[in-house]
Amino acid sequence: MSATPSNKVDLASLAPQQLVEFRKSIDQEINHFTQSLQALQTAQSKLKDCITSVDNLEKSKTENLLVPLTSSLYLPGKSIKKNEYLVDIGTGYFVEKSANDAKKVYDYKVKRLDEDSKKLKEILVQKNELLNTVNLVLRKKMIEIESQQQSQGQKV
Amino acid sequence: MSDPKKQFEELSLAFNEQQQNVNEYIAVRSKLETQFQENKIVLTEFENLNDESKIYKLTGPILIPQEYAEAKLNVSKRIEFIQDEIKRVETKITEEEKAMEATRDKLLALRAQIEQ
Repeated sequence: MSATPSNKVDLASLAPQQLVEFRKSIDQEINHFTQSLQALQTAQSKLKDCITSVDNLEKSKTENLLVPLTSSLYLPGKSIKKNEYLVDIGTGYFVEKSANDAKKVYDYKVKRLDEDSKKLKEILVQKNELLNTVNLVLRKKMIEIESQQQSQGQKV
Repeated sequence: MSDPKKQFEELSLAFNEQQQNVNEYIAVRSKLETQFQENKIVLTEFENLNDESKIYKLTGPILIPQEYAEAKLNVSKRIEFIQDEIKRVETKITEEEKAMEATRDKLLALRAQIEQ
């Protein structure tokens, strides 16, 4: 593990207790970011579901389908128009779009989420590296303190 | 002797309250940020549309058709409003943080006094 020199000097000058506190806050940050990443991934899979739904409807030759009333109750129905979708673009607004345009909206959103996930992952890697260095410095300090105590004990 | 101690307690209570306030404001701030981002996405979506697009607004459980210009104006207005709100909350956070620092300085001074 070789961190930036300035970083190391900073960490080494801290007291063990401060290091423990610092580690705690890094842990919290990592937790927070991991949760955010998971949220992003669920959102992404939902959007992908929308795209596959549009694809499936486009491909299917019959206009028969089952309309869900609840998750366990369905009603046979027929789709009248296959190229007209109502797309939720956020904050309660819906827009009528063709199949292709609808997919474009979802594709764009998936791409954006991909970018955000990438950024988040980078941050997570950095944070984990930082956590490792802190742990390393902390362990060194503990060994130092222990050896000091031992030598003191020998003197007395 | 009891007087500074009492003062100390009062101050630390005030400090805790200020800390809580700051945390609340920060939560509000992040909520506003989420709304801001969402509205921005909607606005960019509106940029790609035109007068002929059929737009509906979800009001409660029903969809109400809305004019393109009106919907776009609504979202722009909302973004402006949210930006103002963000500014308001941010000034509040800095104010409260300053107050917190002042209280902490007082606390430290008082503690030194008591320890003497």
